[in-house]
Parts: sequence; C-alpha cells; structure tokens
Amino acid sequence: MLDMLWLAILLGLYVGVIPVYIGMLPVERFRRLDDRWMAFLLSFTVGVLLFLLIDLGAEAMEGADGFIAAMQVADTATGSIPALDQAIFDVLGMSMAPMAGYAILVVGLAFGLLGLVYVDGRIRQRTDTSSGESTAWLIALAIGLHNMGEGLAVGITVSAGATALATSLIIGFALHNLSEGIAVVGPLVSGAKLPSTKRLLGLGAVAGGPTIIGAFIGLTWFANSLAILFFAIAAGAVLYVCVEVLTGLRKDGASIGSWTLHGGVLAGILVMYVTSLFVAL
Amino acid sequence: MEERAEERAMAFQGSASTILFVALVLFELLTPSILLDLGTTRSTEAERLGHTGPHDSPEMLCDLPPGNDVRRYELVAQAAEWQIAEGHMISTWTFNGSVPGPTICARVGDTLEVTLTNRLSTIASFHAHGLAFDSDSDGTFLSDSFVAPGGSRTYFFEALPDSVGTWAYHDSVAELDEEPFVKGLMIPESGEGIERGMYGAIIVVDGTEEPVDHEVLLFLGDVGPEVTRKGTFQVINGRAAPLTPEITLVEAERVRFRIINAGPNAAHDFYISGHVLENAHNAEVVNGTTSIEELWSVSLGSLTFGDWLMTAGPAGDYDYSCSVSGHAESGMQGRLTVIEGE
Repeated sequence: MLDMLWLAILLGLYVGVIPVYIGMLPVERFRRLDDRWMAFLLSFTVGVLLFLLIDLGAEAMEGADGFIAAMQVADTATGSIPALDQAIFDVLGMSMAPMAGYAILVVGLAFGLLGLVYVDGRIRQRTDTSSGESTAWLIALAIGLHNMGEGLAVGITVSAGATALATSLIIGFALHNLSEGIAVVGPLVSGAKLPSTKRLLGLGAVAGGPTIIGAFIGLTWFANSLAILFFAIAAGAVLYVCVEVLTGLRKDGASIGSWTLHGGVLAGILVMYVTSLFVAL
Repeated sequence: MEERAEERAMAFQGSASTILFVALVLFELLTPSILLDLGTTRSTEAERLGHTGPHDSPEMLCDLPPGNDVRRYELVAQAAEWQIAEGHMISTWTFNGSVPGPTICARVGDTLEVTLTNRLSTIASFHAHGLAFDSDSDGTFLSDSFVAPGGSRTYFFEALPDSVGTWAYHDSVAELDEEPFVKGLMIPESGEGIERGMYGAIIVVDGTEEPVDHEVLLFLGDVGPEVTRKGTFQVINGRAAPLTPEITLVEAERVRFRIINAGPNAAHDFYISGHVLENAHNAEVVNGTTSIEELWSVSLGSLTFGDWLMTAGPAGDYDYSCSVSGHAESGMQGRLTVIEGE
C-alpha cells in the first residue's frame, strides 16, 4: 500500500502538480502584457475550461454507457469486477443495474454544479473580488476536480500495465496541464494586485494536488461507478465555472474585440485538444 | 499596502520565478526515468539457436518422459515492453512476458490443462490449434470462453493421434476497443492480440519422430503500424533483423525446423540459402524406394504451421529469409552459420 502511495504521489506530481505550477509561474510576465494580450489570455482560459467540459462530459457519458457492459462481464466470464460495482449490481439486480451508471452521472453532475454555487458564495466572502482571485480559486477548484479524474485514468492505466508509461507520455501530460496552470492565473493577470505567494501556491495545490488522490484510487481501489461519479462531479463544477467566467468576460470585456475574444477561446480549445492527442491512454 | 502584497508574491516574480520555472521544467523532463519504472531502451542481443555448445544428446524442444500424463500450464496474459527492432521498443501483450510465449508440449494421449490469468485491461483468451477440445475451451468470443481483466480460466485439451506435429496457440479476442462486451452483436475474431505478441507453439510428439541433433522453433509474424507506431515490421520470434535468431549448426547435423506463421495478416515464403527442407510427413514409397518431398522454400499462410527436416550443408555463412516482396527488408531475415565438426 505504501509503495502505491509513493507511486501515486510521483505520478500526481509529474502529471498534475508540477505542470500546473509551471503554467502559473510566468504570471508576473503575463501582467506586463498589453491589454489586448491580457484579454486574449483570459479568453484562452475560457477555451481551456470549455475543452475540459467537453472532455469530462464525454468521459462520464462513456463510463455510464460502458457500465452495462461491465456488468455483463460478471455474467458471462469468470472475470472479477470491482467490489463497489459488484455491490451496486447485487443491490439493484439484473434489470435495474444498467440504469445505475446514468443515475450516478446525473447525481454527480448536479452535485458538482450546485456544490460550486455554495463554494463560490463562501469564496466571495473570503477574498478580494477586485483582484480576480475569487475567480482564480473557482477555476483552480474545477480544474482540480478534473485532475482527480485524470489521475484516476493514469492510475488505472499504470496498474493495468497496458500502456507503458513512457517519458513521452509524461511530457504530453505536462504540456496538457501546463495550459491549466495558465488558466488558473488567467483572472489574476488583469487584477489590481497579485495574491501572496502562499495563496498562489495554494491555488496550484488545489488545481494540481487532486491528481495524486485520483492516481492513488486508480492504482488501488478502482471502480467504474466511482469513475463516473468523479467525472460527472468535475463536469458539473467546470460547467459552473464556464458560465461564471463567460458572463464575467462578456460584462468586463466590452473593450475586447470579438476577434481577440474568440481567438483566445479557440486557442484554448485547440491547445488542449492537440496536447490531449499525445496522452490518449 | 499594495506594494507589500506585490512583494509577498516573490516566488512568482522576477528572477525567482524564472529560476523556479527552469528548475521545474528540468525536473519534469529529467527525473521521471530515474524515479519511475519506465520502459527503458535495453539493448537486446539476437537469440542463439541450434548448436550453441557441446551436447551429448539431441537437443529437443520437448523432452517429455515416457508415458501419458495430465500436463498443466500456467499462462499469464500481461503487458510488456518489447524490443521489436534495434533501437525501437514497443508495448506488447504477451503470454508470460515474452514474444512468443512458452512452448506447450504434449505426447499423444495426454490431457492438457492450461490456466490463463488475465492481467491486461482487455479481455483475453487461449485458443489452441491441433488439439481436441470442447466448445467451452475454444477461447473465442462466441463461446464466451474468454477471460475478463483480472480473471482466470482453465482450458482443457486432449492430444489425439492426429495431433502430432507443430501447432500454434494464440489469443483470439483481445482488443483495445472493448465493443465485444456488447452482447447480441456479430463479433469478428480479433487478430489484435496476435499482432501484439500473444502466441506460442504447441508441440505434440508420439515417439516415432526421426531423431535429430537440434530442433529450431521459428515464428513468423507481421506487426502493423498501430502497434509499432513506425510502419509494418515482419518479425521472426518477435523481432526484426538484425535481432532475429542467429542459428549455428555443425556440418551434416540433422535439424528439425518447426515453423509457425502466427500472422495475423501476411503469408510468408521461408527459405534457407543453399539448403533444402524435407517434408517428412509427405513421404511416399514409390517402386520400393522412399521418396521424400524436398523443398527450396516453404509457403505458410497466416496461422499455418509445420515442421521440416534439414541436413546442414558445408561449413559457411548462409541466410534464411522470406522471399515475399518487401518482407526481408522489413525485418524477416536472419543468419545461419554452419561450422566444421570438432
């Protein structure tokens, strides 16, 4: 168990934590950019978030669809299926079990979305809203939930040994999650002042740290139902943040040209998409 | 007040942030290979077959004690990093970690129990040629006789009199795409497991085989670009030239070549320069003399197998290869050296 924890920490560091910090570090340089580029950066953030929304939605739905199939393995072959999935199957029985995947998806999505409504209220009480810090915390949280799912996927892959964890794969993940670091500091770039080092470190930990938790679960106690739940919660959270950041962008961004705005969104989506091709597990 | 807040973001400002940035990037790039157990590029020497040193008795692939038995084999379907060509590693699926998997031996009349444990993330199976089995041991998707990830299953076989010879076993369901789980759909047999390395030999003997000095087991196969990520390789025993087996023989030695085309796609035409292969299974007695079919090359379609006898010629360097256009260039060739007797 301890060696699994150590492996999860290493995987989480390489795949999640370090890339996010690398993306965050140039924040001061970003602040020296002219207004147009700053606006571009913020809409880049939106593009990153939109990609994550699409990605997470697809993962959750694919998992929910596959949940039925996972049940049929137990029926037809002498294979073992994860304990939690088996328990759901036993409780619900043959006729109802296929619905479980979709139910978990809906519950997770609602939990993620409404949970963020609550968390957002708390964050706004504690932070200075003029610096864009509250938005940064929201983005970090949503990205963190996404990275928990990503850690899960990495953990499962490594434990199954199906894909060799090559250096190229790690570099792919690093490039992918580097953009997430840029997304976290996006709202801080045009803020009145930069938050303290402690808070910046905290933002990075919230965005990257959950990768370690996800990797550990993936390595040790994976269940299909749990994966659907993680992805759905993260999708709900990212959806909330997308809506928030988009409304903010449209309200503050009267001066931003549409070319810059949509160019940034497109760049964010494309960078995430292209880098995701390197890490297709 | 504002200035102090700016100062407190020190790690993210000025030269400190640049240094940290470079340090983290270097850490990310350089340390994974040290801290994580990654598939490193090992240099593999070519396999040595045939006469590899002095021996008192014939070197047979299957040296079974006399009498019938229940023979049990444990196979584990597992992923492995495999050097398919010089400087090129690929991710393979294997039986017991190597390509090809272990050789399964039987004597006519034996019962075989093969237990397959699946450590892959896809379903896997054991499908045997040449042996007798019930449909629940056929290892196909249609009979549900495959093994889910994490599971295991025992397959039962019998070696009958017409089982004598060289056969292959292989996976027939493994696929990265897990669509086959959906019941009620027509599911084609999958060759992906074979392409990724899940095959091995079954050798059945009945004790009437002509004694030989060596037995050489060769697997021909093709591995496509979706597995190699670098074009199609034509491989022998899982590797492309120059990593194909180096065969050494002593002048006038008798050798039995057991050759398996594991496929999954291409047909091959195997020859050894300067030598003929004898088809001992196709001997005819014509006018009181035994005539044995002699071949300059043997053709093997995908998933066909056989064994041929050969007498090593005069000392010298020879090569073996596939004469199908482009196959030798894609790796399907190797060296055979005949040395003078001691």
